[in-house]
Amino acid sequence: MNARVIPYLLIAPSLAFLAILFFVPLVQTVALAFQADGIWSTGNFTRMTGDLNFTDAVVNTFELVIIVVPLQLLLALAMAMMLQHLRGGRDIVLWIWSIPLGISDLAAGLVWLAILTDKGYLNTILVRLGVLSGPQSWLSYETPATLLAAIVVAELWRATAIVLVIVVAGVQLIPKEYGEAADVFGATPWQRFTRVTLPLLKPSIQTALILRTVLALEMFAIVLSIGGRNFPVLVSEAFNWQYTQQNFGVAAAYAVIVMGVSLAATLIYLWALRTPAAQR
Amino acid sequence: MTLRRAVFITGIIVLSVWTLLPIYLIALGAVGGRTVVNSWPKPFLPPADLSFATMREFLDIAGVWTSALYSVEAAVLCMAFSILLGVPAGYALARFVFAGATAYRLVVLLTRAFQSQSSRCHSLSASSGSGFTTLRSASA
Repeated sequence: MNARVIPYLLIAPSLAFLAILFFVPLVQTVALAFQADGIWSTGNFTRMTGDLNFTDAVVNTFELVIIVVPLQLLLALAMAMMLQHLRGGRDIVLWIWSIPLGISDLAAGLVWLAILTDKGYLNTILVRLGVLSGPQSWLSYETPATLLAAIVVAELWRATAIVLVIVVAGVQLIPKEYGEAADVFGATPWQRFTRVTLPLLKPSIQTALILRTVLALEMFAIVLSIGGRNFPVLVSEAFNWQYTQQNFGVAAAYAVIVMGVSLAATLIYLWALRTPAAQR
Repeated sequence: MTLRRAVFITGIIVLSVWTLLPIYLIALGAVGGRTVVNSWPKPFLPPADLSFATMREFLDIAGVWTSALYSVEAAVLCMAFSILLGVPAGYALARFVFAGATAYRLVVLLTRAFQSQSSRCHSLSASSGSGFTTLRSASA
């Protein structure tokens, strides 16, 4: 068969699937966002930006993404490097570290709620250590900093594993000879990491960053279980407009905003971490 | 053991405890029942009268098994479809240079940019799942 046709045949089924089940609803959503009472308008967007929670939701969402994603990448890189230097038990450690992959975000939110709630495990420890005299609330409207920190911690716990798995797969693809060559030339472990491992990991890091950023922009269940309505984010606002207010137009406007931001972030990553064709 | 090695092993242990401890604590709640969940200060050891009564109560609630079955069904179907659609596409991206590859990649990523919560089309989760498989097989 003509080698030019093969790749197109291979992507054809998924393209057909996406066309029917993704593009049609996508176009419908965008149309919904730009329509009010059956006529084309930007009314939904005006209503969205005029909402009290809108600014908070935007700020909170970006805060989370900007704090969580770099921390996750650093943590996952450190973990992957540790795994590489582990002599025995590498599989069991990798298995333990990837357990959170199997935990849904709502369940992870509830796990951390049990720890951080007023009468939770954290306060028990702090009281026993004598740091606190009684239960202290961390997740209320009056403590926005600790509320944010709690959500960051929960998200780090739950979703670092996916970055780890991608990075570990990438590390395994790097031929050992490169590192050995660096050793021969007298590179320190740190130089080896920054000059050999990191550049060769770029495609994996790109995939991980895109996925994590886009998913962090859509954080919802963790935020809802820990912060409730005290911590509005873009997707929780979309959910409220859709189900509580039953205003599908404004919900669609939020969806369009999230999509736009995600797309922009993806394009930035694709450009910033591109691998020149000659190096592929 | 060198100091370096000791720090290294400590790091591994700290990260493993960080992963496992929250699961242990939530499991305590599951076996301890209402008394543990509402107690203060919270116990860090399983209760002496460890029982699976709470778990059994939970499993006796009507619909738990049905919804578990639905979850498994949905998971199996999603997995099958995302492998069927994603693996060939990922192979194409990884093994062939063709015009439109970047555009196709973007289209796949686009499925991720569309949150399933506010979409009224439930099949979307399958499409974003296959997107992920495509990306994974392309980068592997």
